[in-house]
Amino acid sequence: MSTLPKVAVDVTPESRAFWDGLARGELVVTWCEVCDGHVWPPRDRCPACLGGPTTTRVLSGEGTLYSYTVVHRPDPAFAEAVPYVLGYVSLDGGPTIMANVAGVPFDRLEVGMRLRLRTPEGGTDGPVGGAVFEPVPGEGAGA
Amino acid sequence: MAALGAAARAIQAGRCRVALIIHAGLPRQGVGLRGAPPSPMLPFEAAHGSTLIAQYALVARRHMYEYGTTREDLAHIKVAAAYHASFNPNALLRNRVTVEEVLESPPIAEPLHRLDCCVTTDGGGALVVVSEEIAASLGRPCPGILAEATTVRHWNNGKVDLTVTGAARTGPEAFAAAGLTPGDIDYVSLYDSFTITVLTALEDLGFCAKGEGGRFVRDGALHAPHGRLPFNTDGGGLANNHPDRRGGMIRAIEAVRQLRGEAHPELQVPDCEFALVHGSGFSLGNRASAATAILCRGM
Repeated sequence: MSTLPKVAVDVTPESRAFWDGLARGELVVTWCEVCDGHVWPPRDRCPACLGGPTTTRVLSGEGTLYSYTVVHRPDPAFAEAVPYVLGYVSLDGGPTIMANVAGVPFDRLEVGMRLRLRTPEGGTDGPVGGAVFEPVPGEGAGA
Repeated sequence: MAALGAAARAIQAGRCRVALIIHAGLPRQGVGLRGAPPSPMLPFEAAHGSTLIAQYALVARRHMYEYGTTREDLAHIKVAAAYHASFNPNALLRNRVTVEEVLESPPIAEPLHRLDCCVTTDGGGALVVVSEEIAASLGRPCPGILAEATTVRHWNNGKVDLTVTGAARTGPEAFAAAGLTPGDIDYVSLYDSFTITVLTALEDLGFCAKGEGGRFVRDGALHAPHGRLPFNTDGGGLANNHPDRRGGMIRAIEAVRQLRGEAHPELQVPDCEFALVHGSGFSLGNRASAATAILCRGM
């Protein structure tokens, strides 16, 4: 897999903390203090209790692979990256979000494997593209 | 498909006596609905190179993980659709295929390969829904709408459960309203954007237990006329036609043909009394609509 592209995303006031967090290598999700739970996608009110404004919380950045696909016919923006891995990652203490997975041979991918957010090289001041996860060293399939 | 219920209710309420439902699209000519419809989830998908097919592939992979479903299981669905399309002179793909050919077709978004995917065609269709009084005056059998149910699925605040579809809600609701059980159904028309779309619908509608879809579709179960549950005798979206996001219309029309005894003679289900039509839309498991209708043979 070649390098994943950085797609210009439509950053909203609600989602800025999430994208800025990725640029630092952190997973920041919006949080409902009333329900004491995550709010996904980021928004300023809780879809469960309608309370707000929501706050944010920094998660550990680790999670479990919920499902994955190796994409051969890509979104045009990802044409140079095929084949690439798209997946859902169930974040520890947070939502299940879409992400890319890197650093694993395709035949070693496994639902349930433990992953952690990859820290972007050098870091940037703004959105860096998507969340890219890599295996947690020394940990196989989990839950 | 959801329009069936709206038409039936309008007629029942006396607001009209005849309702016309039309669906058509020209995607092969580049006309129509291109690009993803707006959604709060879009930025979080676009940033990771998600595609519509990839979203269904994620459902398929999760289903394989939870229930041991295999690519061979999914292939049986395409094999049945292609067999049916071989009798349809208007089908885009009239060639029969084997399980091996499905497995060996090029990968699109694994575990889905090319032959797990529907065709894209121009096309369209129309249904006329009429009051019982008018139906009685037409001089030919008019299948009836016994029950209809619709629902939506969404991302559920990041608590996704990809293998469960809207059919888990519309199926039981429609069966309860019709006073029937899945065992009463002689023929099904199922929206089939991908093979996994059919597998999950069969389970969630109650034709088999959740997770048993892979075993259910083996051994020619979906083949007309004598399989356990003949499906999509027009060839479905997998082989006949799929005009962009309007693949459900032709499936509904084929159910009417079966109930009238007007399907292809090689594929006509004997004594077809009850048919179920189910459609789902958009991105299975993540955000989707679903509609189920149960139809009966007319007098």
